[in-house]
Amino acid sequence: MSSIFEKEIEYRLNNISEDIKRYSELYFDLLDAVHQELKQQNITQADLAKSTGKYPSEIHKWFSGDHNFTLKSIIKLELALGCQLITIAIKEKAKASLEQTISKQEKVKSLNVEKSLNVGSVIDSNEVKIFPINFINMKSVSDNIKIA
Amino acid sequence: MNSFVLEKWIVRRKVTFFSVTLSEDELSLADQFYRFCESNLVSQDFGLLLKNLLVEVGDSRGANAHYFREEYDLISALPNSKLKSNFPVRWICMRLDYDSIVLFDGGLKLSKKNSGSPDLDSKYQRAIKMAKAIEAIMLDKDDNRIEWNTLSIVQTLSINVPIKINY
Repeated sequence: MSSIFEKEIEYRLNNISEDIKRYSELYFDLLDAVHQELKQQNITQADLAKSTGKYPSEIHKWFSGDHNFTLKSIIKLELALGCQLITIAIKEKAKASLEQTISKQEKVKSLNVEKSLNVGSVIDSNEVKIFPINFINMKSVSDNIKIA
Repeated sequence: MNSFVLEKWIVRRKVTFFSVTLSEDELSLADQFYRFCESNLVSQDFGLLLKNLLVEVGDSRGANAHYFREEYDLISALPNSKLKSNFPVRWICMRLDYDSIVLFDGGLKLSKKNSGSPDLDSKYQRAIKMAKAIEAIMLDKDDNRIEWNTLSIVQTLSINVPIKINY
């Protein structure tokens, strides 16, 4: 006989929120990555405790589900193992948006150069606000640009 | 002498989960623990526990040894990958192989040592006895109820008749 809650369990699994699903996947990915490195490099948890300056009990916690990995603890692990455990992927869409913003910025620069050379009154300088160029306020630069 | 029945609990793509039902109970220990979690854990934590056990281990990755924290000889608990600092649930299990796990019940771990959580500790002690009985019967080649097969336990345990075991 199988579980009397089988259908209920299936229903629950189908309704787990996306953030929990992702959290669980990443957690197991991390466990697998660390385990693989330890195995490949023939490192024990005791060795890892020495190289990270942690108590063995703390290292044991890291791998037994009693530790909520922070970026700091992941970096400590990466340094101790001499490998990269996680990578951050920049999404294509975000990349494209960034490139578009940079291209707008360059266009404005080029128009300003044309104006200073009296090529034509293409842009009203009163409507252009100049900001220091950095990624944080690029959006506000492009929002304030009006091309005649 | 106490006895229990070992039978399939849930079959997932990579792992078959077994559980045991004590002679005096109606529900298997895994079902009892499921009911316990349902009423004692917040939905998010319970969802995570099920996702870890049944999807990540059961469907995607298999019962790799490094996912389990050894508590006692033969007996483990699956990592919880807790979301909050306070997620002290332990689901007691016996990892038979890459594709087979026996789930017992579990409980809340209220202190650093299991002995500080009397309810959980007594469940561990009972699970140890049952795990030893299961191991003994698997290793007993003369016993025609279960035959130990190192290639795949699932093949040998995938019988539909529950197995009564004394412990």
